[in-house]
Amino acid sequence: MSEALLTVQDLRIHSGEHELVHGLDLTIDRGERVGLIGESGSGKSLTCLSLMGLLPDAVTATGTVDLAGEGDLLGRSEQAWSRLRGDRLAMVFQEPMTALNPLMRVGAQVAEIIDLHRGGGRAGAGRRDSSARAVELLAGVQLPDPARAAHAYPHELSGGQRQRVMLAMAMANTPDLLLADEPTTALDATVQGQVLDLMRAQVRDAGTSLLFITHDLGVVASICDRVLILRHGEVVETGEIDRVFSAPQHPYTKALLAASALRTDPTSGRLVTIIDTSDPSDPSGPADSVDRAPAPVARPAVRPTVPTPGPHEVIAADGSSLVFNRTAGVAPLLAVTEATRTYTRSGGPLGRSVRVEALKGVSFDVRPGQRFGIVGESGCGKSTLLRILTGLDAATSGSVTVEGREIVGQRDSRLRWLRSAVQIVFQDPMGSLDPRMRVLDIVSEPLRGVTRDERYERVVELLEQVGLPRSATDRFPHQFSGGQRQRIAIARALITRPRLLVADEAVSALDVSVRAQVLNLLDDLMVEHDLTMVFVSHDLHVVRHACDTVAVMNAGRIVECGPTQAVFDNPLHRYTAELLRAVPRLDAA
Amino acid sequence: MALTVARRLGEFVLAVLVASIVVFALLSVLPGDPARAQLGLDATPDEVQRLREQLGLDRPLPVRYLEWITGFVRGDMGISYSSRTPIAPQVLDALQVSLLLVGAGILIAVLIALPLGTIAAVRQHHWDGALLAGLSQIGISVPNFLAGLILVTVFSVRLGWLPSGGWTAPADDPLDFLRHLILPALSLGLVRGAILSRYTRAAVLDIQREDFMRTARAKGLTPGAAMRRHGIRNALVPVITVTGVEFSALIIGAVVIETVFVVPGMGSLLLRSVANRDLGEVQAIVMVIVVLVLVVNLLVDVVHSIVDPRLRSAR
Amino acid sequence: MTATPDLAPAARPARPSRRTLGSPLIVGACLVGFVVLVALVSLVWTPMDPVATDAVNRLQPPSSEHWFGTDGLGRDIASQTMAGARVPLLVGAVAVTLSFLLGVPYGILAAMTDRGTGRWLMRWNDIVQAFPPLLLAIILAAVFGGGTATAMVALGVGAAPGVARIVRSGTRQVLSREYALAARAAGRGPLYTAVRHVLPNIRGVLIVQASVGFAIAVLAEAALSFLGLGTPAPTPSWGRMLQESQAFLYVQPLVILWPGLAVAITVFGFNLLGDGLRDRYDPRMEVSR
Repeated sequence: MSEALLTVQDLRIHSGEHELVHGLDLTIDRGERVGLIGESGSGKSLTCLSLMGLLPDAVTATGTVDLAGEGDLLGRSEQAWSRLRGDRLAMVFQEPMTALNPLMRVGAQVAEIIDLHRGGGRAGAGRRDSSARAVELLAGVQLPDPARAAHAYPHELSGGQRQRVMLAMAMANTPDLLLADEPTTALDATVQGQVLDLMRAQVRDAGTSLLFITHDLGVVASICDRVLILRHGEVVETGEIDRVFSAPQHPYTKALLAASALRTDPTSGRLVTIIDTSDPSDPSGPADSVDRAPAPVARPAVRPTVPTPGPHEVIAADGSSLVFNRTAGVAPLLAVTEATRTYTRSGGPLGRSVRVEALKGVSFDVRPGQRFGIVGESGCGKSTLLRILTGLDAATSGSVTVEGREIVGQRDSRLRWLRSAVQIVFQDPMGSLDPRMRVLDIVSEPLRGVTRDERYERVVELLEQVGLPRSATDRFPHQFSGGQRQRIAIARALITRPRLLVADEAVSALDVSVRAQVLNLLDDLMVEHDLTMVFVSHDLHVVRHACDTVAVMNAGRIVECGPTQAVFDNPLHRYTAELLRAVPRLDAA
Repeated sequence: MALTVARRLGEFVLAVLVASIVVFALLSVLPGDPARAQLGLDATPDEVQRLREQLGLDRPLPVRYLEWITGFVRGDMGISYSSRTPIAPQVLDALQVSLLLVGAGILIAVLIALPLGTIAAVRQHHWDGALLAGLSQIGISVPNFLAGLILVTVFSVRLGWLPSGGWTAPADDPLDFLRHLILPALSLGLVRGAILSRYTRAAVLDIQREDFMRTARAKGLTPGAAMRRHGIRNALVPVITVTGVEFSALIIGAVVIETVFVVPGMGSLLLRSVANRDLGEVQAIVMVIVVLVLVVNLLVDVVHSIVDPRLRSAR
Repeated sequence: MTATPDLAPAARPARPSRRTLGSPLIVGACLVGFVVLVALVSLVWTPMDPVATDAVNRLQPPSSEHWFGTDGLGRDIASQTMAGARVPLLVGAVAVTLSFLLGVPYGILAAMTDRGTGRWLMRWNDIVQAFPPLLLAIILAAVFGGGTATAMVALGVGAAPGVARIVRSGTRQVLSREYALAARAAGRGPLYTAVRHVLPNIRGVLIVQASVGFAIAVLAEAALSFLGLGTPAPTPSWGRMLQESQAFLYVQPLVILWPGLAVAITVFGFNLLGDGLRDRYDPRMEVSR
């Protein structure tokens, strides 16, 4: 059992003069499942690519990568690599949407890998064999109607289905080692669970070893025997997964585990964050650096009283209307009534248009001071709903009122009051800041009719509140790390002193360590600015921490809504339960 | 599918109609009095009036437009003022010549561009790739008529291998037709091929960065095999668009080349009618050229949807 | 979510560094600068009068008196080639400016109005694009007679739909970014977004397009002059020099060399400049259909 399949010694990866991976050692036994964990910039993906000989042109690897029966692989010719790839070594990539050839039928793409490694089997009979085998493989990854799927083009399949195809392809020749680089990161939680189960089963049945690369500790817990924790190109800790997760040795591992679990510090009640230990002499910092701890801001000693919890309700079986989270006697800050949104999506020059019902009648209230979470998987309508709440999109029918004033059907020019009352923080901290604007102009964008000096003062004041120095005003967004950029976006959202802050997956693009810091910051600002928050996310874990009330959306409707604790502990709707089950957990190992 | 094809055809017909109104506006409304324009300032009012009646210019514009466009659809383009003969037969003869020339030109361009552009991309970091990229850069800087003059200097003046101009119909003498076709077609094709090869190179470079190309190599295909089996067809999608644009550019480029080589095509005809200030004839020729361009755009869409399954179905 | 491969920032500069100011940009700028300089010098000085004919010294080979020789009317080719730079540069500058004045607002408008209107605007754009600039110039020449002004207007109007298409596609990319949405959420109107977000972010594409558009205009102007529909004689013009030289190909083929070289160098310069600028800005916003 403990026969080594792959032995990596002193693997160093260089890009020009920069060393990105500093001497990595790794052994994978036959049939063993190993997790390689790291945040962005840790070098985990490059490590994986170097084991496949697929590093980008400008990047080189040194050291030894020894595959049982082959000897050292590094420095081999393309010819030699291609004999191994797809046969003894196989890989599943992160992005299922772009990893398949869009112009080729799925079955043919699976059949190709079979034909390639069958010793020149190019005869017509061989072709038919491999097509039949491709359908079998597609059936093996539980695609419904595999014969039809084989005949489909990639764009006709969903992301989860495409990732199944990738898995079928990778496993086609029962490789000795399967490398999986964040294979489920782009997928919804429920789909992610299914793909992981499938991968585990396939690898076990074929006796294939697995190297699983991820930033998500929860995912790793459910699939691997052993893990390596990678940071800044160095392995900081390695060991059996139970030991590493239950008794981590290295401080980074401890902090990473705490941050991943969104663990709170019992004394302060705040989320545990990772203190950066890297060289602090570089003030602008590389784009991926862990955020420095923000400048201390006066913290209120007491958290404000949490508003009385609303009712825990579930959608009626007939889908009849119900206003979620309504409490008699309290005037809502935000009231949404029977909001629907239908739009047509056009096809290509020869394609036909499709009508899409993104929202099918949504009603709920949000009371002042609430932290209202909206969770759901991609395509459930949560982004559409968010745009309607912020007046960026118009509902097809229904009503949305903020502080009693209607916003549906109003022209942009009539919504100026809304722009200062409701602000939004977007998901992607790079995309939400104009790369050609200075921070001063970015943060002050919502401000109108103030003097230059007042503008500058307000911006500086807010930057300090979000933990950024005065000198940030003159810089451009690319000079900041992801977490810092999200702080800038938060400062912009707060400069008009809004009543309602809408956060659209505001921490989803951040590394776990930075995520905790930004959540802490949001927490503080909620109190300081007396805010009400609508927090939209696909991540139940984050919503559980950040919100007191949660609404679960599915297929354009809210299916369940209630106090977070009640919904998570006692889901009333079948879909909520399914969603909760699918969340990978650290203690599942 | 049938419905969407019908819709695209409807759009095409609409585009042709709108374009015809533009052509009519440019050449029948804008000049003011075409009769005066054709006869020049020396003409007596009597002469002008006679010509106006002869050309039907005394009737309202919408009537004249309808008469022109319905005639055009039936293949009747009116009578040329300068030669006093029907325009349509002349235009159709010239069109045949031009289509042969343009067809040969685009063929040469594609035959040059696809292999050279691909090689230039695949061997981007080698001397031969860089050389090809540099050559194409020089190629696109040479006007096609200059290329024509250089070709004539070398192959007609110096070597005396090929005629420096003139035309023989393929039906009359296929060999002589080819001898007359080579130089003008090369002048068109070389320059357009240089442009097209740059787009091909860019498309192939883009494809090399695609995730599915990495997947192909992860399957065990060598980079070359991955390019042949997965890359080329994908790179073709943008190249088809550009080929369509280039085809239109060739049609207009042929106007100049026909002048250099004295080829009796649309271009020569167009320039002769411009010189004669025969606006009726100009209008007919311009309309034919514009319809050709629109047909090419339509064909590009059709070829796209054949190559790319994503354009065939609603997402 | 960590969608990008975790290359270290060192491998991917957030901004093009100074080093990417590679040779194409410099060589292109030098060539263009040289041509502009020659055109300016020709305003005050040329070796000889470029339009003075000399029936005795026709088709002379290069000599100390006539550096590039003389043409079929005995005019000094060197002086003509120098003076011939003025018209293409003027036509290029006016045509590019005109195409931008028309195309940029149109493209931004087509991208920012609602989908239905935007699509109709682009349909109309497609129809105008079916009239290539050179064809438009020939049409205008037929109606108004050829000339520098006709050429400038025709080439400018003819190039506008291409500019509009590029601007629309760039604008749509900018508008799809969350910062454009954030500007709306900040209560800013479309004009603000167009000026503060769209224009700065498509600047790179526009600069590249200006350079390439200049090259195309110079080519088209030469073609028009070659056809006798451009700048009328006796104003020196490369295109007409080439057309006149065609008659003497059997006698003195060298006469096509200098004007031909002049056109090619000018176009090559602008193309290189465009390439260099593209490398520098790497806008990666391409014309999408």
